[in-house]
Amino acid sequence: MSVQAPPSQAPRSAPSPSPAPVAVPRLVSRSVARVFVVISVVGVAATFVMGLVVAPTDAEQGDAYRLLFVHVPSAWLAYLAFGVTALASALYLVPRTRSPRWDHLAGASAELGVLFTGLVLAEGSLWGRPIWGAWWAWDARLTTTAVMLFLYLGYLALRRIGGSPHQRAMRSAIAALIAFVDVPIVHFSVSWWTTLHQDGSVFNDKMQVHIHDARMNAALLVGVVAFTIAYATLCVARMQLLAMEDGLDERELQLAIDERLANRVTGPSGATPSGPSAASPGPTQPAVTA
Amino acid sequence: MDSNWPYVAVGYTLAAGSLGGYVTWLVRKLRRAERSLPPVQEPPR
Repeated sequence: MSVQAPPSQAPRSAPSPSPAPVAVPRLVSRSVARVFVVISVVGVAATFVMGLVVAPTDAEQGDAYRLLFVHVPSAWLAYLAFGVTALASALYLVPRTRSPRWDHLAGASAELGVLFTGLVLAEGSLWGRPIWGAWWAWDARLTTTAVMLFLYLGYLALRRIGGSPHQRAMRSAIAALIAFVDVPIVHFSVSWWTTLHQDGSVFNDKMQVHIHDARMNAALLVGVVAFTIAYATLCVARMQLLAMEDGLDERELQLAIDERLANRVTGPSGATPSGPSAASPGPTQPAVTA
Repeated sequence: MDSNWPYVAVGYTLAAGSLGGYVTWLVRKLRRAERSLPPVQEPPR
């Protein structure tokens, strides 16, 4: 477990009134984190500048196509984030590889996946209004993407239900694997059903879409790379926060246990009880856990 | 000027706003958690 056990799991007969703070190891050093933050900010800013200024106006779609420089990287990241969530969840479910870090990674990545899926839908809708003439259509790709968003919102809600960190990790890992079934359906929906959303364009020879302008290609490439680095940076930061939150919960639990033990030893009014239970708590005493 | 620019402007503002908002929320929560729970000291180099 990434959270170190507090040294205050002391003899029950002499509980410590205030346990030492639970220490959570840093996933990356501050200097490395700073470098990644700077690269992410510069990369996303460069994507915006290239998409808005450097890339030329499209001959057919005009300027509306500029939204795709955000839409496409967001879609790629939604896939990546949910893929990472599924992989980390599977690693948590396997007893040999089980670690709270996998659960933290799954939770962090799913949250970012939801953020990017929301962006995909919003950007796609804004692009669809001038190009398709509609904000929304019950098209296969759009509908399955919306289903994916709600599935992972449900997953995030499930993570907030009470229980021990292990209980939370187990049930959310199973939910993540079930939710991931929708991801390939989203991806292949444009091939399986011929509806409004076009098939994959950039790497699809059948579509015969050739981006001749190097500035358009560069803007798309920079967007994908920059958003991926930003995702990795945010994911590590969110994992750190999840580990800290687990550490805080553990410390609160430890404080509550110590307080009850202290009340047992001294009595609620401060008087020392004379019974034998004062020195050795009975079987109903809450267990001091690591 | 292309009549589609308002859609583009809203789209980019939305992207910047959501990413920026998420980063702000995350940094705030991290700082608050760090105040209550000091992380392990980095080993001396």
